Amino acid sequence: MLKSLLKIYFASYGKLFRGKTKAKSAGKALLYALLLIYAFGIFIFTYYQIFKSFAPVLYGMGHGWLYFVYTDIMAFGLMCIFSVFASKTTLYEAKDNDLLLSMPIKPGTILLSRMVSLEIVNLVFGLIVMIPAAVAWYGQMPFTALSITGFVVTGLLLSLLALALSSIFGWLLAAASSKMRKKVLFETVLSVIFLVAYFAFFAQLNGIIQDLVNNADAISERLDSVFLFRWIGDACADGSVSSMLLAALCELLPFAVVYAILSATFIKTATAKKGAAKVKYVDRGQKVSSPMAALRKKEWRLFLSNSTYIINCGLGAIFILAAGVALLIYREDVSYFVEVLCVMAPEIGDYVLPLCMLIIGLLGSVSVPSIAAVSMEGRSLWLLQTVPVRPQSILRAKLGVSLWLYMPPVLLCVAALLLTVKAELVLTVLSALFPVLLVTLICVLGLVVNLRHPNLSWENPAQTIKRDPAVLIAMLLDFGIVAALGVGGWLLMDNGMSARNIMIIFDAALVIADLVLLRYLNGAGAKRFASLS
Amino acid sequence: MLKISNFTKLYDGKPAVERLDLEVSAGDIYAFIGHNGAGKTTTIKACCGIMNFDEGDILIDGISIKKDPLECKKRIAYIPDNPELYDYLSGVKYLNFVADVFGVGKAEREERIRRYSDLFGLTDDLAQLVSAYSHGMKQKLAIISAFIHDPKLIIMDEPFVGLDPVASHQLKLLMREHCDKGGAIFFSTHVLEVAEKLCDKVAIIKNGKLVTSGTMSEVKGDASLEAVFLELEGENA
Repeated sequence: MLKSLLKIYFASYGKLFRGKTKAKSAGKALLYALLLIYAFGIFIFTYYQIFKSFAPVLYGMGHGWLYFVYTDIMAFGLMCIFSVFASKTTLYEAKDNDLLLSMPIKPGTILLSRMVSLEIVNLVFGLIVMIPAAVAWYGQMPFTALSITGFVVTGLLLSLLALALSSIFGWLLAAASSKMRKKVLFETVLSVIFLVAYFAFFAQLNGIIQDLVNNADAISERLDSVFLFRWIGDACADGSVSSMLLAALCELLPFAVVYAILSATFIKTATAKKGAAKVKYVDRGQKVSSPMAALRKKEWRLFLSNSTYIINCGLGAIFILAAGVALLIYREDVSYFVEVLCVMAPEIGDYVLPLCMLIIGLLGSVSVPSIAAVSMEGRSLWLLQTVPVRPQSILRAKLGVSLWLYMPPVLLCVAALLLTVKAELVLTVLSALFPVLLVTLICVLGLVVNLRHPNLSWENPAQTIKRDPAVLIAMLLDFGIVAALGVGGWLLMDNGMSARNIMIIFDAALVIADLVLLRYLNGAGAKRFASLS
Repeated sequence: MLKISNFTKLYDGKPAVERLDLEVSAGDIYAFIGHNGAGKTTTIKACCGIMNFDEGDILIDGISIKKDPLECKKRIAYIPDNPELYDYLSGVKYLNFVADVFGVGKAEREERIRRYSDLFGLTDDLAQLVSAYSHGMKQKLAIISAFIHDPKLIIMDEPFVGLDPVASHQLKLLMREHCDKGGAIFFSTHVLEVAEKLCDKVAIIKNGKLVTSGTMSEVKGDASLEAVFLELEGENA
C-alpha cells in the first residue's frame, strides 16, 4: 500500500516532466536534474570551503569527533528549518487526504507516505552539508570502512530525527493555526523568525566556526557529556561500532515515537474543520471596482493567502528592504569605507555605485511572486478564462503584484545608495535605472517561465511554490543574468571601458530584454494563458 | 443565442467531437445529454471560449467565439461540473469579484447578491472563506455568481450535482424565469427526469456525434426521455 501511495506522489512530479515524446521527457528530467545539481552545487562548494579549513585543525587537536558533531548540527538545523513549515502542509493539508482516508488504507500508511516525501527534502538539504563534510574530512584525514559506515548510518538517520522534530512542529502548527483568523500572518511571522535566525547564523558561520575551533577544548569537555554527540562523533571519526549502534538507536527512537503519536492522531488533525469560528455575514452594501482593480485585488489576496507563497516569493523584497534600511542606518560608515576604497584604488571609484546596484539585483533574484502566479491558479484557472477580460490584463495584474512588492524596496535601496555613494550625474541616473530595469526583468521573466511551465493540478500549493521546475528554472535564469552582468561588467572594466558606458550598454540591454518579454506576454503569452488547461 | 456549426475538436488527431451542429434560441432551456466521455464537456468548454477547436464555429448572440471571445464572454455565464472557486476569498468577495469583472453596477449587484443568496440560503455564510464551504455551498455560490451579471446565455455542466432538493428546486425556477425573460440556458445533465420536465429542447450526443436534437416532444415522442436515450445508446453499441 505504501508503495502505491508513493507511486501516486511521484507520479505528480513525473507528469511535470512529461513531454510529447520519450526523448523530450528524458530531456526535461535531465534539465531539471542539472539545474538541481547546479543550485545545490553552489551551497555544497561553500560548505566544503569552510569545512576543509577547520577539519585538519580539529583533527590536530584530537577532537575529530567534534568535527562531526559540528557538521551534523549544521545539517540538522538546515533540515529542520526547510522542512518545518512544509511538514504542516504536506502532512495535513493535501487535498487528497479525505479521499485516501475513505479508502481501506491505514492512516499510519498515509502519514508515512507523506513523511517519505518530507524525508526526501530533508535528505537533500542534509546532503548539502554532509557531502562536503565527508569530502573535507575523509579526503584529508585517515579513515576506515567502519568510520565511513558510521558517518553514512548516523547521517542518514539524523534526517529521521529532523523529520521527527519537524513533524511534531507541523502537528502543533496545524492544531494551533486551524482555529486562527490570522493564520497566514501567524505562519508568516514564524517563518520569518526561522529564516532570519538561519540567515543570521549563515552570515556569521565563519566566525562561529572560528570560535568553535578556538574553544574546541572547552566545548569538547561539555559536549562529551551529551552522549548522542559523543556517539555520533566517535562513530564517524573512529568507526566505533558500539557508538554507531547507540547513536542510530537514539536517532531512530524519537522518530518511532513521533510516528506512533501522529499516526494515532492523524485522522483527527487531517479532518479538523479548518478556519476560525463562523462569522455571520452582515450586509453593509457592496463596493464597486473596475475590472482591472478587481483583478489586482484578487492577485494580492492570492499572494497574501499563503504563508509559503509570501515567504518564498517575498523574501527578496525583505532582503532589499533590510539592505536599504541598513544602508540608511550605517550610511556614514559605508560612505567612509567607499571613500577610503576610492583613495586606495582610484581606478575603481566610478564602478562602486554600479556594483552596489548589481547587488540589489542579486537580492531581487532570490524569488518573485510571478514565478508561481499562473500555477497558483490551479484548478480554478477556468474562472479567469471565462471572464470578459483580456488575458493581457490578467497577466498584467499578476505581474503587478511582483512589481509593486519589489519596486518600493528597490527604490528605497537605490535612494539610500545614492545618498551614500556619490557619482557624477549621468552615471548616477544610469546606475539608478539599472536595478529598476533588472528587477523588472526578473519579475517579467518569472511570469514567462511559469507560463511556459505551469503546474495546474497540484494537491498542495507548497509543492508548486517550492519545487516546481518553473520556480527552479526562473531562479537559475535570474542568477545567470545577474552573474552574466557581473562577469560582463568586470571584463568590460578590465578592458578599460568607463562605468558610464558599461551602464549605457547594460541599461540598453535590460530595456530590450524587458520589452521583448513584455511583448511576448502581450502576444503569444496571452494566447498561451487563454488556452492553458 | 448559441449557434454551433460543424464543431470539431480533435485530441491527438482523433475526434472527440465531430461536425456537431446545434442551435439554442432565446427563451430555450436546452439539455445536452450523453454518456460519460461523449463530448459534452468538450463542447461546453469550447462554447465558453476556454478550449480551442479545430473546425467549425460557435456563435454567441451572433458573435464568433473564435473571432471575438471577449464580446462573447460578456454575454455568457459558465458553471463547470466541479466549481473550483477562489478558496482565499470570502463568498461575498468572490461575488464582488465576478460583479466587478462583468461591470455590474452597485445597485444591481447589491440587489442580486441579496436576492440570490437569500434564495439559496447562503446569506449567513457569505463572510466565510470559500475554503470553508461544502461542495454544495460552492455550487450555490457558483450559481449565484452566474446570475449576478444577468447574462444572456448561461452554460452549465451538471448544475444539479451536489445541490440539496430545495436548492435544486430554486435553480429550476430561476432557469425558467431567466428564459422567460428572453435569456437562454444550455446545460448538460445525467438526470433525465429533470431534463424531461424542465427543458424545451434536447440534444443527445454519442461518441462525439450528435445523434438527435430538437424540441422535447420531437425527440421523445410518446416515450420517456430515458427510454429514448437508452434506445439510442443501445444502437450501434
